[in-house]
Amino acid sequence: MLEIQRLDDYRWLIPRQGSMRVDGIIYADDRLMTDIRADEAVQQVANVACLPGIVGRSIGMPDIHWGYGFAIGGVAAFDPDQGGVVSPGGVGYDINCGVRLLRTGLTEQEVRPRLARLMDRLYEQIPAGVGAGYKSFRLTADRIRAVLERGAQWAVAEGYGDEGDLRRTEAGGRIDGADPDQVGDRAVQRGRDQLGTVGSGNHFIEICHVDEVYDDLAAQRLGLDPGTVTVFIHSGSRGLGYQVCDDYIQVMMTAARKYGIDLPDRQLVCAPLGSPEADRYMGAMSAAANYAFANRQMMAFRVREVFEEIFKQGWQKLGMTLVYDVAHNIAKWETHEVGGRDRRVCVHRKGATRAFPPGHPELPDGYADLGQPVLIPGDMGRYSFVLLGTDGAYRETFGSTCHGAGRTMSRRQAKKSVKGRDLRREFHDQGIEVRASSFGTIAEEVPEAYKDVADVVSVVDGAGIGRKVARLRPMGVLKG
Amino acid sequence: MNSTDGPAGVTFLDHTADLGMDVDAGSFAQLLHRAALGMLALLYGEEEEGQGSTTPDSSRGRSLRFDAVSAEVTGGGPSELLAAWLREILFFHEVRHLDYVRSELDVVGEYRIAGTILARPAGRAAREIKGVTYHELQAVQQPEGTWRARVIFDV
Repeated sequence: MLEIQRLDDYRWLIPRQGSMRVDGIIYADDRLMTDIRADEAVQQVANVACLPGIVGRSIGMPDIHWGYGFAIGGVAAFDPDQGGVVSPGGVGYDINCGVRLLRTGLTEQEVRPRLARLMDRLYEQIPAGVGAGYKSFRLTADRIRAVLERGAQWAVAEGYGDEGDLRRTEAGGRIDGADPDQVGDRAVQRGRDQLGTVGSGNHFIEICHVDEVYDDLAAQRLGLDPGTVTVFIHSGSRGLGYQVCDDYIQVMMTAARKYGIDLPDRQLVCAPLGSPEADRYMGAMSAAANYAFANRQMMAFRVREVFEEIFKQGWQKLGMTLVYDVAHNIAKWETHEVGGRDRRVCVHRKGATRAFPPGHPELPDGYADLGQPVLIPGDMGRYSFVLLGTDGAYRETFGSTCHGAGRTMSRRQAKKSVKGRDLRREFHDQGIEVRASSFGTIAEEVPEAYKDVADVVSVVDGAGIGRKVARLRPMGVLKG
Repeated sequence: MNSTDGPAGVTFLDHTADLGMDVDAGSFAQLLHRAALGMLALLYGEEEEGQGSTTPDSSRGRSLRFDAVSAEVTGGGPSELLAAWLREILFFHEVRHLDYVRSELDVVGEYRIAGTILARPAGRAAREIKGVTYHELQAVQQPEGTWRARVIFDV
C-alpha cells in the first residue's frame, strides 16, 4: 500500500518509497482524490517515478485516471545527463492529441437561428467517426512527407490558413526534429486519407459561446468577451499516430531489455535519451505530432469555409481568428530549472497541457505578457474552460496543467445508463444541436460519464498551476 | 473490473477508460482464433449484454466473399506474439478493410506465427481501437495444458 501525504488543499505527496527515484505529487481536492484513489492512477504515478533519469517529481493532474503504463493526466521530465529515458507510453497512442480554439466576431444571438444548418454543413463537410477519411483527398507519398516534416506550416503554405494561425499554435505548428524516414509504411498508409478528420471516441468539433468571464482584461485580449461564439476542435494524429506508437512500443520492448531497464509495468517500455532507439522514436513521434497540427489546421479551414457559406462573409470579416492550439499528448525537449539550475529535459505530457507563464520566450507577441492560453474541454453537455499558464506551473509542474474532465463511467456503464432515453431530443431541449455518426458514440460520451470539469479547473486555479479566464457553453457538437 | 461473455471462450472486461478481454482456449492456435474474434466483437460494439454470442460469422451487413491473405508475425514469447497477431488483424481491418474469419496456420511457434488468414470485407465498425496495449498483457499455458490470455485495448 503506497504512503500518501496530504500537503495542502490541492496537493498530495507520494513520498519516494520502494523503487521510486523521486517523489510523486497529485493535484486534487478531497473529492477528486477519492475518485483518483479508486483506480490504479496513484500506483501509476509511483511507477513512472521508478524510471531512469526522472527529475523533479512524477506529477498527476486533477483529471488523472488509469492509463496503460503512464496514467492519463501525468507529467514527467527526464534528464539525458542522468540516464533519462523517452517512453512511447508516456505520450500515448494518439500522439499530439490536442485542442484548437477559434473565436468569431459573432454572438450567440446571431448564430442560434442558423445553428441547425451550421451543424448540418459541418457534419457534411468534415469526416467524423470510426476510420472516417476523405475519398477525394488522399495524400501522395511526397505530400504526406511534407506534412510530417512541416505540420501546420505545410497546411498554411497550401492555403489552408494564415500566418496568424501558426503564431498562435504551440511550437508554431511544427516540432523540430521530425524525421519522416522513421515513420513506418503502415503508419503512412493509415494517414493518407485521414488528414482533416475528427476521428471517434472523445474527439469533437464544438460550437460554444462564452457564458462566464473570470478575468475581463485577459478575456478581452483573447477575443473572448461574454456572448462570443467560439469553435473547439479536439483531435490528434489519427491512425498514423496510433501506428507510430504501436511500432515503437515494440522497438522499445527490445531496447528496454538491451539497456537493462527494470520496468514495473511493461507498457512503460523506454530507451535512454540519445540512444538510436530513442532518436528514432523522437523523430517519428515529432513527425506524427506535425501530422496532428496539420490535421487540426485543415479542420479549422473547413470550419471557416462552412461559416463563410452560412454567414455569407469571409472568415476574416467574421473575426474567425485562432485563440490557440495546444497539444496534450506529447514529449518535448524543454529547458526547466531543476535542482537550482537550468536543464534541458524531455517533458512527457500524457493527458496534460503545456501552460507556460507570461514572459516565456516561446509565447507569441500578443500573449507574451499574458501567459499561454490553455484550453480545457469538458463534456458535451456542460462547459469548457480557457485558462492561462502561470509562474506556478513553470515552477512546480514543468509548465503543465490539466487537460480535461476524465471519465467516471465505463463506456458500457454509460450506454446502460441512457437506455431508453432520446439523447438527441434531450440535448436539443438544452439548446445543444448534436450531430454524430452513431448513437453509440453519444451514449458513451454523455455528460454524466465524465467528472465535472469545473471541479478539475478549480483545483489547478486554486493550486496556481493555471488561471481561469472564461467558461464556454456548448451550442452545437459534432462527434464521430 | 466488470465482465460479460463474448464469443466462445472470450470474456469482456469493462474498465472506466478502456476495454479488454480474457480469452480461454484449448491450444495456442485456438487462443489466437478466439482472441481475433473477441477483438472484432469489440470493434463492432458487440460486447453489450445480450450480444455475447455474436461472432464475425454472423451478418454485419457485409458481402459473403472471402479473401485469403498471408500473414506472418513474430514476438518475444506467447504474449508478445498474441499482441502482434491482434495488431496484424487490426491493420487488415483498418487499412485493407478486411475482417478475420479464420486462419490456416503453418507455423505456430513460441516466437513466430505464419499462415493464411481467411477474411471478408469489413463492415462499419462501432468504435476505433487505437492500440493493443502491453498493459496486463499475458498469454499463459495452464498446468492442465489449456491457454489463458488477457488483453487490454486503448479505445
